[in-house]
Amino acid sequence: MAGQLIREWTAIQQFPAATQEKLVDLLGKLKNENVNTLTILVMGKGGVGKSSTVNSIIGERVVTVSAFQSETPRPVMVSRSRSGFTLNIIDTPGLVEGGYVSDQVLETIKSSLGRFLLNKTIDVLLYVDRLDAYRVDNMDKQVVKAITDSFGKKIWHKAVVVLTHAQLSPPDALSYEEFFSKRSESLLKCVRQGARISKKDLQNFAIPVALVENSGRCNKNEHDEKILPSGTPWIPNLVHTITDVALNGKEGILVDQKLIEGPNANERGKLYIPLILAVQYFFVIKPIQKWIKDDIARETKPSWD
Amino acid sequence: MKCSSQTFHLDSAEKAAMELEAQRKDDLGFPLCILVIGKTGVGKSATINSIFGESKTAVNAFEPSTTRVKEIIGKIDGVKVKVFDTPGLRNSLKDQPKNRKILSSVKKLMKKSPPDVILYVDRLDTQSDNVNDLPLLKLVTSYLGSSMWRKSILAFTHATSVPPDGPDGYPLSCEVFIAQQSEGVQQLIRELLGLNDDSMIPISLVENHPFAKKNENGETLLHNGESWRSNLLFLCYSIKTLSEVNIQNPLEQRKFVDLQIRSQLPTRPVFESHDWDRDIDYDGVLIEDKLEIAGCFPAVISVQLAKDKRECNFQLHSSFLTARIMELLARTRNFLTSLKAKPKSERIKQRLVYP
Repeated sequence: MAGQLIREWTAIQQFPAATQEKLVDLLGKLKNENVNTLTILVMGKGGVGKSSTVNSIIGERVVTVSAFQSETPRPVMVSRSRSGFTLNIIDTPGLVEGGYVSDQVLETIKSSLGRFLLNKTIDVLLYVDRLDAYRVDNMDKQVVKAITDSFGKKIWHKAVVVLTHAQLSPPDALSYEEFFSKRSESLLKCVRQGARISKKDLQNFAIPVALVENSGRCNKNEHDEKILPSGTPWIPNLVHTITDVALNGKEGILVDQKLIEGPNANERGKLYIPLILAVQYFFVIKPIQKWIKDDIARETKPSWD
Repeated sequence: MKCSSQTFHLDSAEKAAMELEAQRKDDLGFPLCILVIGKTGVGKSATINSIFGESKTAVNAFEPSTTRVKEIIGKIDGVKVKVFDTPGLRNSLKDQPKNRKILSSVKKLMKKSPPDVILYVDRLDTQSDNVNDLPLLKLVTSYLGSSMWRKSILAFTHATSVPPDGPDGYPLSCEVFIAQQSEGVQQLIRELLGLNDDSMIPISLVENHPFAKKNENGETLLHNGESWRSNLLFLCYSIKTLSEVNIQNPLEQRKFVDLQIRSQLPTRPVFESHDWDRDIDYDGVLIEDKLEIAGCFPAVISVQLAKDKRECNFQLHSSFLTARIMELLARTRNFLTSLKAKPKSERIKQRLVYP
């Protein structure tokens, strides 16, 4: 870390006292376990609230958010330190462009990670989506698959599903709890399918879900903390979930050369080419040659005589 | 020059409408057929239920509930309305085969029973990720024809959702938010049709949430206090009327009839009390009147037709829509049709009548 000056996390002081207290406690918990750095990668489709969530965690508008245009143009890493503890959060552009998961965006993310975090680990993945989306479809599955292909299935051991726009009035006269539970279930099912997590492996991949409300009109409790409809202050709740995942004993994802360079879709199956050629030669071409030779041998006289 | 003596008496139209209603005529013979399309989960079925005021088609907040094209028939204010609910289109390009299947069955349906109005539904409160919507809009246009946009309305659901925060951290105003979101889609469609002007497809705001604010009649209100359902129905009838009159400039052969509905963006109902007695060229006609429906509900209806500009402004400021308005529109339609028969060089004096 020589020569690298990381900004002091002064924005933590703008949180209401009750939230600050809880955050400081959580940082203390990490330090007790000898964890002095926490690196969080934030990914998901476009327009779901990744940048807003980053701003909410840090406590200041570090990443620009626009309600209209396609947001974050390239990955941004925000680093803050406080009493020897360093927090790194990487905000990324939405993975979907024009109806497909964008390979270009993925490549940009990987090369940025190579610049920010070469040979360092990603401790937590925040997979962000909206609570008030009513469909989980192939697109979501493809996003999950792309993340899995790029970072390995193990990243889902270190993942938190973050649902934004949590302050909603549920549709169709459902209760909030019912709606939240069904929505989480659909999304988690999609993650399992996209990451190819088998049924028997399920208990290994218990991915927690955290609710988030980033807008300025989020309700507050008597201590001025931003709360969810259930009354829980959501910022400490989110950070608590993150720390639990960071300390869950599973390995973080190492950002090494291998991760940055592959897998490239074009590379897939290249190793099979010599094998396929060999199979074709020995099992198709040679037998046909033999049959032709046998046929010639069987012919005793020309048929046009 | 019989045209100079022709005056359009709105009060006689109103009398006729009152008589019709008194006779309790079941079907005023002005049926409306609406086709509802859009992405999955945006609120197509919910909007249809709101239009009819009852649950006519199933909704589901977690998976697609409409799996095939469904015909829904009902009566609104004594007028027969037929709505086609369709399965939602998918965002992922991998689901193109599914989308193609849906669109080709919609296309077949349109041939069999051509709709008067096409409602293209989307959510107001999701980011109009233009790059992602363009392929879908292209596909829709390729199956249903670019002329579909001539009789389309962009319906934005979740219309009373609070706007997101702007760059300064404070929430955007409703007007700015709505304008930006709708303009996003409008631009895409213009791009698709190769138009480089500012022609607009009429928009309608929709709110289907059961707990949204309602007026004394039980109609859901938008932020500006207007009932969205009345506005939408009025828009539908206007479009039907216009297409029946078939106003088009033969010189330029535009693909589009501009239909600017000014009362769509948030405005408070206003009573216009101008006294217009204009000398109007064949190019334009303004008909405006104040009405009193059932003797107590005020309304202002104005129809402004500028043939040259290919512009037709319909404005209705009223607390609700009734069969009378339908009749008025029918009369307007007939009048406009008769207008077409006049040679271009004649000047027409229209006297505007106030009761």
